[in-house]
Amino acid sequence: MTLRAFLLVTVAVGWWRLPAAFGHGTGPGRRNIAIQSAIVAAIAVCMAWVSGPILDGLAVDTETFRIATGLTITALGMARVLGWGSRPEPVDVDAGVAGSLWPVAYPVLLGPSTVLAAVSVGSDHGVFLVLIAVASAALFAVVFSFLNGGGRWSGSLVRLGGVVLILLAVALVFDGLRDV
Amino acid sequence: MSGLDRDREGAPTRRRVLAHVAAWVLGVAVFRVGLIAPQSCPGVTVDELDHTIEQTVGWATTNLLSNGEFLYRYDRSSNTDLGGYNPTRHAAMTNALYQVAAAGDLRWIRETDRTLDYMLRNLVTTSDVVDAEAVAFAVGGARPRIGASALLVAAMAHRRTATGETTHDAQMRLLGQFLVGQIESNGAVAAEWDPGSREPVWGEYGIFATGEVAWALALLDETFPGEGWAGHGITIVEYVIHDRRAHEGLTLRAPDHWVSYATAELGDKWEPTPDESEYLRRLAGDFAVMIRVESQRSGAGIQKFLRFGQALGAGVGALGEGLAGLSRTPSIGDERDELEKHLVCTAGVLVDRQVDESDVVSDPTKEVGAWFKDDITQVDDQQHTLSTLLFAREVLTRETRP
Repeated sequence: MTLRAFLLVTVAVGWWRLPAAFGHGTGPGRRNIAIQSAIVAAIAVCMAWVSGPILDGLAVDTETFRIATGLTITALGMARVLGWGSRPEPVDVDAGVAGSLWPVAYPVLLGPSTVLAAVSVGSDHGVFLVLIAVASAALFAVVFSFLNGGGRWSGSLVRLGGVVLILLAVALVFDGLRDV
Repeated sequence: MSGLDRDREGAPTRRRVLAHVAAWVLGVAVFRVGLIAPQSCPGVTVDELDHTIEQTVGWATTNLLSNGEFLYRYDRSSNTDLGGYNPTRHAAMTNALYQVAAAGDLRWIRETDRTLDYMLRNLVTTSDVVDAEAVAFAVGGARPRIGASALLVAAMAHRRTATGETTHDAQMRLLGQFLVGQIESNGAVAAEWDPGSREPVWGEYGIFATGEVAWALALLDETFPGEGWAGHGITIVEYVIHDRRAHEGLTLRAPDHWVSYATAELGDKWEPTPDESEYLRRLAGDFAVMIRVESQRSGAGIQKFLRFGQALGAGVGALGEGLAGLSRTPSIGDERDELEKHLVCTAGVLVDRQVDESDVVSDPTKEVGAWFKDDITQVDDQQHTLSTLLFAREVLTRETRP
């Protein structure tokens, strides 16, 4: 279950969408990608850190939130399988760190699946696992940002990422139901 | 030129950002309302439980009819006794009242004895063979339904615990003989006995009667150790776990709180296999999921549309009974804390929903202490809830003990 949770957070951070988001164009540079990834990782770790108070504030327990997270990420994964989020995004290669928040930090890396997975896994397994997972995702983000996403393969990668996301999310739902 | 201003030829970027913001707001709202509605588990104290229990017992005993029957079904919107009667529910309510007595509060024992007398006046002999004599509880010449007799046994067992009196021991054994005579070789339990053929009606089962019989037999074994009653109870429990769905054509695992009563009462007399323990864990999961869903039902507004109205008091109470029984089952003792947490949550939900003086619509005597759905209450709304409140009280008393 811990491995699945790790994989869920790693895949929920949508680094596999970067080639499609950049298309034939050039990404905003290795340094910018690394900074954007670090920002997203920091936000995800913060979400995991405050996951307990968040769930308390929402008056739901971890199993209920886990099931809800699984169902929502399943829906998001299906959207990716259907091709949503596989079109190139506008990228300003010269805009610096702040200007390239879009589309790298948001919407590609920090989507609802990242937020939900960080809170759910943070609540169930603690901050450290989320930290390792988002650090891995950040590394993948840097590597994948240098691939030329102009071919059809980048769209296929988004669909494949969606499938993997669905599998992990469905497992999360069953984990939640079993632990209830 | 910023990234947000670049995309002038396509959809305006500002519009796109607004679309994302709108999607987030909508998504968060749907997530909150549809998937993670707040779970309402109002905290309860022992004093609040005592008050709620007293109100419930008050409803049952104040509205007793002269013949020992309970007020069965009542509509407060028209202040009407809707009539009808069900012997099984009579026995179950009597049992719940004796559970109160067995927990140490004997204030209502006289009134409860009147409801017991009603059953004792309606016993029919089901065997003419002297050394295998047996009796069952049935009203007005109807076919004896086994659940009614099983719950009569449970009531007598709790009365015996409460008073120490052995007055009804012989009748308990005769009822026990009737219960055993209804068990098929595979552990299935015939739900009725036919006075015409003087035989069980083989092949007809009751969704809850089977578990009720298993529990009654476990109680008989506790009352009369060494007479072999538990063996029959174990046979039934193992049938429920392994064969019941296929044999009785059930699609899903029945959320049978009576079986959980039985496994708790059997205690260490039954040594389940890992598969059997796993079944009980899943049954516990069923109850836990259901009380989670129920605790999210506000019964109003969009939540009523999405999650439907709040369940009957009987339904919520039965969840608590199931959780209580499984929390006391030794083979899944590691789940005890978690199950007791859900049990206390169930009690909190029930305390919150009980009608008190300020909620009265027509007649306080028939309303205060009861649970209504669509302005109607039925005796089992009070019966299941009362048992759950008692079990929750035991948990809280243990937790608050210095």
